[in-house]
Amino acid sequence: MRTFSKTRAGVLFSVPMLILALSIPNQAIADDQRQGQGQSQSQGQNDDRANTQQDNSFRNDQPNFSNNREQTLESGMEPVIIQPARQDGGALVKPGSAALYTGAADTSSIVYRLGAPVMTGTQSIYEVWYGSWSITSAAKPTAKAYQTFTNNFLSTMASPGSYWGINNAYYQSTKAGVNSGSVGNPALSPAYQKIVAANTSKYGTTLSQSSIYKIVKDAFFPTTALADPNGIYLVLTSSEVRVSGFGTQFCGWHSYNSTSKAKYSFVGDPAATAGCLAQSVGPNLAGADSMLSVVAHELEETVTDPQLNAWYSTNGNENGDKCAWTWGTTYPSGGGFANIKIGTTDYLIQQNFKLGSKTAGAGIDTWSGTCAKS
Amino acid sequence: MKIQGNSHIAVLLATTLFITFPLSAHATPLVKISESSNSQTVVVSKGSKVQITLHSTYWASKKVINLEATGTPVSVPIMPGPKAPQGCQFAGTGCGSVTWSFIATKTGSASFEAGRTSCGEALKCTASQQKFKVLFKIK
Repeated sequence: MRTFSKTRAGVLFSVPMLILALSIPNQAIADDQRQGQGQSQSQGQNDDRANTQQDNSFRNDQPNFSNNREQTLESGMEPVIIQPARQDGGALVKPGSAALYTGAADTSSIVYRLGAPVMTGTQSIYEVWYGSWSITSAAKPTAKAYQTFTNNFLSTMASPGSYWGINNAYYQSTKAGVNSGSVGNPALSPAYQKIVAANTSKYGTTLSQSSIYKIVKDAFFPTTALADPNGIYLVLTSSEVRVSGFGTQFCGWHSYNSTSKAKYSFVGDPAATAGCLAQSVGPNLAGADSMLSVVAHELEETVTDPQLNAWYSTNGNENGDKCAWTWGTTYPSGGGFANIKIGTTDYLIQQNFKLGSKTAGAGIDTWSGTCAKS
Repeated sequence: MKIQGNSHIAVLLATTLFITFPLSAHATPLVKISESSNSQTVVVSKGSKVQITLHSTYWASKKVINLEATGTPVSVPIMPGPKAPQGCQFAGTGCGSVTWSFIATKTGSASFEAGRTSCGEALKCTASQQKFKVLFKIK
């Protein structure tokens, strides 16, 4: 502890204050400090999330995709079970070494803002597998496993009473107590699944948010102004593709382009970063398992909050955020843990926020709920 | 402004407190705590207001000992959008802050502990990011 020379004018008060000050090293006393994820902000920034996702840089995009950059995935949907040990996205995975990362649920209420849309009806899921996902690549034998495994789940998760059913309870309304449409179920089509090799793409192996959107547009609506209004566009990158913020700020995200009305999402291969991997060994491929859980997270947020103005808590958390890294009851599988079985396939998928009871308010509906997997 | 622990900064802090709480007034001292006090012990006087602000909306209090809450935690999220700060363009990143307010009503030891398991959109926290704890000596 340092000492200070005293002057008459502050002796009576300064001494105890100095003692206090010296006893609080490194104490921050201002509000503009940034710490880790934290950012300074002003109250005015919180007023409205609607219409904030416009990116004018997309408007003049003139895509020029040649067919030899893309491949349509095979439609095979058979379960893929690969047991450890194995090479998974560059990380050597050893049997029995799994430690499942488990999060704490945000059990605060979720709020619906009256008038904001959800995705009613059947959603079409479009996939761009960006990077080294070629199913014929000998250097990447797990590529096809990622795709078939992911599509197996997406095509079966909406069966009655299953995982997706939690989303069907979310609705849109313009007036309290009047439901004008509930969230529908997704549908997959091989025609909406493409592989884009990074080394032949004009966007390369380092991507920004803007390039994620352009990849989507190039792949699925290159010459039209508007995206499929019922579409959810996924860009799924392989482990060698770098996306700014991946693994440090997010493992995935969803967004909305107000010009084309596209609802699009990015999810990276968790094998590329420890921050996105739930466990080092999984029921299938550890990277694919964790990637699918993030895909589920982004899909359930996209359908319930497609324009970022519908369903989220007062702390800003959407339904997927509230249950991130929570699994409910788990059981051993493949050297790691699983929490959902569909058919003969074990999955590890994060839970979703299941609506409980409603309290209506002025302009909003507030719902209690819990994290659940069906 | 970030305060570093050295002598001239301590003088600045004392001066700030002197301005905030003049001798003639009997205002309740306000002690503001943030991430930089993690794992440290803070000395406060009995009756002080203690305001703890952590800069991610994913923080939740886990354990509070000998501090009297003066309201519910206040979460102030930064909403996504092109005008949001770098790293806050997406929902679920946790950008924003949570503030807890207490009064140090009893002399002796007190503590506040918070935890989080998400540190971004669908992003795990590292071990060091998961816990915040500050101890108080209340005199």
